[in-house]
Amino acid sequence: MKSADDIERLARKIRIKTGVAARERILSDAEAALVSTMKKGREVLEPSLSIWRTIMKSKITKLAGAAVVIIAAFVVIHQLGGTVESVAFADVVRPLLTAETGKFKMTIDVVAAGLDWIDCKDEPTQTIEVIFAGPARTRWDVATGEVLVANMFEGKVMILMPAKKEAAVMQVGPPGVIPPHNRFNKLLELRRLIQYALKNEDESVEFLGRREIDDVGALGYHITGPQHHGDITVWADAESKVPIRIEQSMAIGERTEAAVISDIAYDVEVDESLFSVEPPEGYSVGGPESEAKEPEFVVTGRVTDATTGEAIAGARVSDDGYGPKPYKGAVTDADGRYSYHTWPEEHRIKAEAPGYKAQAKGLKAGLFHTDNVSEKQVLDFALEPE
Amino acid sequence: MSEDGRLLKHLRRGDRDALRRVYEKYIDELLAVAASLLSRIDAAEDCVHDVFVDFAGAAGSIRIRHNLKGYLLSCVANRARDQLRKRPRETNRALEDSDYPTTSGEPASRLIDCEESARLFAALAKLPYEQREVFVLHAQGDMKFREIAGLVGVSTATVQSRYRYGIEKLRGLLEKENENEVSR
Repeated sequence: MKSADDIERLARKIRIKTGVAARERILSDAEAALVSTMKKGREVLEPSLSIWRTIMKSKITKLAGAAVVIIAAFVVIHQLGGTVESVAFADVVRPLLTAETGKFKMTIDVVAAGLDWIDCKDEPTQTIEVIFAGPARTRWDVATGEVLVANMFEGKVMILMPAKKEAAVMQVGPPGVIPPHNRFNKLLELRRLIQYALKNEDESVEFLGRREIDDVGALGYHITGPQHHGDITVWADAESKVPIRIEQSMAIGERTEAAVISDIAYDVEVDESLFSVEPPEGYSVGGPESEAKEPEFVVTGRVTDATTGEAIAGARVSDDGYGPKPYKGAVTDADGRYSYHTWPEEHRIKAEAPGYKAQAKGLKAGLFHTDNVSEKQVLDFALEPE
Repeated sequence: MSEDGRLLKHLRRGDRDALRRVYEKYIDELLAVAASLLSRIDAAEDCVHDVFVDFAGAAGSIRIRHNLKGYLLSCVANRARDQLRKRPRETNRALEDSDYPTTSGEPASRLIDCEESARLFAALAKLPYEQREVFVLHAQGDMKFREIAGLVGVSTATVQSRYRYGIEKLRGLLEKENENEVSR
């Protein structure tokens, strides 16, 4: 009987006798790739995809995802802070519920989890100045220069890249309609969470005591709870009980994002022009309309009747208001199958057929894993009859 | 700075000698790991080929400063998994049924120097992929359980238990084979 050690030893001795030709092919092709990548220079690092793709893959969009969680944390903290310190929750959260405008600074560090060989230092800390005005308008100023403005009064999101003098404007919804899920402004989500937090007080909180933060006496609370993907530490001003610093780390795929919110101010005066979605002069304007390249990601699947399980032919499956118009989509065949090319980004896909209730499902095309995007996703729909 | 650190620095500037050195240093090990994962030598060559070409093509932007081997191994593991997913099921079954995975009909013993290692190689093909992956990356690739966990996306404890099950199963397979030989 062989021991585990014997087996490990044998494993280490496995060496493959491959032909010289195969080995030479590997080396010469790799050399060719190296040469061509160096010729292209830095273009390789930032492929000159159209601006639409650039936006969807840019840090700012990914960071918007991070902001969701951190702002959600914001609320729960208010609530918990109130509970522990016997400060009326409603009083503490009032600024959040009533503030017409506000500002805070958010810094985000991305750390690869469990993967020693990724050099985290190469991913710089992102610092973002966030300003909001009501639920409809948000502006992000990223320290690297990028600017994001979401203005739901106009239903538009604009991204500016001053380094390239490029701007992109996307119509993300009809003007004046504030969508319940708006990636770029989580104030609504926040307010909904406050209502939720008022009803659920079963989070686990550890009081950390008092500490000086930026020369201000602060009370710290450490919160762990199933609703969060990471730990949260909140420091609230000992006098006013208003949070002055929120620290959080959360796992997103293989990465950990550590975010800190600080320099929070409510009801500040904001310049209306900050929320303009008109690109400044001198900027070249791109956008979904200028997308020349067709997407290569395939979404495919089958549409069936939820009660009988039978195929629904002629059902329309399409991107749910995402990307440039006309939205990508397809019609199912006799067997209920469909397949079409769509944007390799997270968005919703909806299926509709006469006599059935429409259904939408989320496409998760690796927004957080752009290095490792698969080329296909299967989404099946079982539609309920009307 | 480690040798790999220096090599990467040179590679970022497009130094072909650095690429050649990385290749010489790791090619055997990567091929062996890929072959063990895929149970086929031609597939292993393709896998390592693609990993190296991608690696060279991204030379300017690769964010590694140390543990180059871990990085390359994880690329091999990711690609091997993709290849297996795309491989038609019949091929997999045919492989499970044959004692000696081959390329163009050659038994593994002729492709691997050590006969005992060749037997282990054949036994590996019969391991569920999840266990095989963990065993190969740890025993052959010297990757830490924690690193494998990060790569595969499961907990370290899960990786360890897959490893234990894997090694037990391998022992059983190798023993059965010995018995068969004795009875022959």
